[in-house]
Amino acid sequence: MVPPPVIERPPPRCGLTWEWTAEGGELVTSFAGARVRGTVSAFEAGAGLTASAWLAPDALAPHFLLGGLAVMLSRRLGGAVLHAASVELDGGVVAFVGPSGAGKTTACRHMEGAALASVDRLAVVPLGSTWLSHPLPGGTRPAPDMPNAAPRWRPLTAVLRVHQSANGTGVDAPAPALAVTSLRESTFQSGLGPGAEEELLSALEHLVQHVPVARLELQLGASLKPLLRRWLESQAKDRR
Amino acid sequence: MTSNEPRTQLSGPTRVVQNERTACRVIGGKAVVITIDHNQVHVLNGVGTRVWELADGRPLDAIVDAIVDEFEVERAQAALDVCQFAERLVAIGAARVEGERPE
Repeated sequence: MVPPPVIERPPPRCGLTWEWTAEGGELVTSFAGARVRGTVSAFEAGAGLTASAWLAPDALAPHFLLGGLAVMLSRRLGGAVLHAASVELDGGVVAFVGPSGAGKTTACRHMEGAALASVDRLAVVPLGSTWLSHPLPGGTRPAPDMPNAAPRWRPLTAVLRVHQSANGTGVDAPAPALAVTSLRESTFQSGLGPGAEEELLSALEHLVQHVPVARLELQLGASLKPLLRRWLESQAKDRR
Repeated sequence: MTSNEPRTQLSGPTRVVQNERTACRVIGGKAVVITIDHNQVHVLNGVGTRVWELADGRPLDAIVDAIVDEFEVERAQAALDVCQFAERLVAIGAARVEGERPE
């Protein structure tokens, strides 16, 4: 007997509240009381970007403007900005995603000795069949004693949606549709029209096809680094 | 019908259509549906994805016919399931009843 039609995954109880729109080259972002308006006047391959902005009298305003610009540039390059804490591992970057409180920074602290790449935001863009990542400013460092990875482009090795667990630590790859959903919920972008949303979903599907995206059940105190290395090796074999 | 039997607000002649303010991509046979104005992401199972694809303004009865043709399910059960599912789609803003103004 066929199962009845259902919505397999109800909407999350919490999610990102970043508000950002970009229409006709104009960019407006508002968040936590700050309001920033800017106009992007030039963006051509190789020509760079020129932007002028009217900033709210608020020290955070440039921060929000840069955040919005990073989102727009990443989208122009076919990528996105993830709400992710990430660490450098064997030359690549492992990103931990999830809403605030999911355990992203906790997961970073469980990667013994790994250098911290991003605290809160990670730009990801495709380059052929690989994806590159670059940390963006923002967020509060989870542990002052964690070493910093130099901010530069590195291959994106994996994206893990963090769930804190009391029943052990493990990694499990969900169906591609659920993997794309996890990424979309952790993407700094809202206020898009249907066409732009479908383009973003297409980009995230491409990411899922080329980069392992999984669910991480994390029990406090676990030794995460060797577990992830083993899992990444198995993923690399499967993909070959 | 007894009071314990499931009821639906929508019925066979009702026409349900995808809300224009949605974005969708079918990935691995499952539809990822974003309701733009609610900024929420939903994933439909295989049968739900087919119902979603068929929600183009045709009557729910016609969708039930297609589901019975394509899946192993009794018509009465399919009719109940499809109507309940269509109600959920309307409730989350992914679809609307044709003739009613969108939100």
